[in-house]
Amino acid sequence: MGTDEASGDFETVFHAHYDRIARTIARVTGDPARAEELAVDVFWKLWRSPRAMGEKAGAWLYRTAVRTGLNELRHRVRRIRYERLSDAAARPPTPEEAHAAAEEQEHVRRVLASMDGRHAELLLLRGSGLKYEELASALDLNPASIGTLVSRAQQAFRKEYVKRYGQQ
Amino acid sequence: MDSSEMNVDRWADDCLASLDPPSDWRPNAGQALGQLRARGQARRIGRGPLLWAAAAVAVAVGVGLLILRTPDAPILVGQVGNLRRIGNPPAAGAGTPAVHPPPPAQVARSRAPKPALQPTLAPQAATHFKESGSPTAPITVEIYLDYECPPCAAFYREMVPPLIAQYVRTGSVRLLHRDFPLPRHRYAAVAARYTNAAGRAGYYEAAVDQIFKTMAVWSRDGNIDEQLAQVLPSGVMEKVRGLVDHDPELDATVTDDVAMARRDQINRRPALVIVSKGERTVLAPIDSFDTLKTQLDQLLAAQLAWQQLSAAAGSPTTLEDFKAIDATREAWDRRASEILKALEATAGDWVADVGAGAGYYAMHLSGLVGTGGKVFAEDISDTSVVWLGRRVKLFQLPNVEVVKGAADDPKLPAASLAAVLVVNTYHHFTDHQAMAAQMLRALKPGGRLVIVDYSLRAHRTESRAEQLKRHEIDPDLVRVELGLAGFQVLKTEDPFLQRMPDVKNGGGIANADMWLMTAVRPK
Repeated sequence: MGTDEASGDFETVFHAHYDRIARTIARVTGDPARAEELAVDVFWKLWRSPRAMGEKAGAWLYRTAVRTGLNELRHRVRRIRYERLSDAAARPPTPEEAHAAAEEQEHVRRVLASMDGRHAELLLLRGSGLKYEELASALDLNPASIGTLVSRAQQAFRKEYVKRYGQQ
Repeated sequence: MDSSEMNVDRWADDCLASLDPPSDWRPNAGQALGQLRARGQARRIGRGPLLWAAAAVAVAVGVGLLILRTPDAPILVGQVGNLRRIGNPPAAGAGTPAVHPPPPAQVARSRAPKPALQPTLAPQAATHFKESGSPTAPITVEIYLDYECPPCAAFYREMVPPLIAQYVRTGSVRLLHRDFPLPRHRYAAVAARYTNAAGRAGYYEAAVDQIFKTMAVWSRDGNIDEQLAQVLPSGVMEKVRGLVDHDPELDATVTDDVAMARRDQINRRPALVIVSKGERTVLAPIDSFDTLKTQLDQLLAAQLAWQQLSAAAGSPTTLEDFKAIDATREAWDRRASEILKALEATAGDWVADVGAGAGYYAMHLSGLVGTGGKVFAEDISDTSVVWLGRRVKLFQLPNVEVVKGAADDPKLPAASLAAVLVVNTYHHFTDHQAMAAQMLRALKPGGRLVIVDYSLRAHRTESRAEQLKRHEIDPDLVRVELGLAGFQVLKTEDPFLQRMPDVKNGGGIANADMWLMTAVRPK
């Protein structure tokens, strides 16, 4: 009964959020095709968690989306690191890798993957265009302290970035 | 220090902004929904055997407990009894829902809707007490309620009274109660039986009121009788008891209502269906009375417009005809004045209304530009051209020139207009490239083009042609098309006017949001 009851609402929620959820994940992973797969997983999780439905479904979706994206990103970064370690001869960058914009994006993603999860989530959701109240609701934080938390996350991001790639 | 912190802000924001996915990428919502439905179906098919397996595991665990525990220690008689009590219930408890057939009453209820699935409504007389308001009201609102669901009680308390006061009493809406008791609510079906019995006795509303008010009390032990007896006269109460106990027909309306709920694909309570011109639109969840009000007002306005248009045989001839059309237009395009403001037209300007229709905006533009200015009211439809001519005469608009355009040319003077307005027309352009080029040509450098049209986000992944069929167009497409034509798009308000956010079915323009785009001919 629970699932049947939720299915009509589910589609409403799906249509209202799918696009932005897929985009949010794509921003994290940098791979639109994979982002669509992961977005389906996120909605599937929602389908199976009737308790997540209701007023806060949007917030739940953003939180789950950004966490799913970050997990994927961390796995990928780890995998690449292992591949690099096992690869004795350092290979020269491919033309794509050398492309400055792609490199910049990759740097940002690496920093996000290695940061404290809470900070990364805040920055990514803020980057997806969520307002302070929406951020607070999505990450279950006190709206009054969001400003401070965002600022702290930005400082942490900067610190980690400089540590890895030097002053910009 | 401050400035460096501010820089970190900006720098971090820029870094994050660099992650935006490619601008031409559009997540395929249709495909994703298809995958989800497939997963949902797979799961539903799998669920039966799963429950059986769960029951079997529970039985095995129960037996296992007995086997494991027995040789442990000297068994006292009491302990064995205890173990049996522990061992047996989990097995039976877990098995009951899946293994045993549901009790007879439930079978009767769940099977009964099938014959009623034929498109027949319950007979008038039998449902009469569940209805209120004028039978000739243009709109019927049907509410699906379960007496044991607290949100239903809240809905009944907060939204039904203003609905009755503002719409039912005024003759605009006929209200119909439908019973949709959830099987897992133990007393909801009994409560429905009581209200229907009270309805037969002429006390429907009083009974519904009391049952919702005292839900917290009777839902503990099912003693609805006691609560109703407090408000119904004792003679009536006797009659109600007689009906509840003995009348086999009492649940007939409930059966019909449940069947209707299935056809409406209702799966939450409360739910509300708006029936207008034979079309059923489900509204659930119902977040506020304002949402409902907005939707009812729009439907009533649309029906009124339709009636007036057909009354004038599709052709407004008098000043009153036009005023009536304009009134419905104002109810529809609630932000008409802002649309006009976006044109930034001032006295003395030359402007155009492309796709002017009955001339509502052309008339207002006439006032804006004054006698020193000029309005080109363009349309390609002969009917519109006749209407526009009539309006110009009736309202005495000497500065409005009616222009019969072509599909690829609005026939406007070159490089002379300060503004062009295109309301609810762009999606009709069969040759949008030519139209955009011609409008650009007609504008002075720096002249503004304001386009207002419809689009629902869920439809934006569809092809352009599919969207046009819905009388909708994605503003992102229009932005690109205008850019290609040489316009500079200044801004898009999307949505500019939001309509009926909770509509699930029922199609057409009535459900689509409006967007507004402002572009200029570069200097």
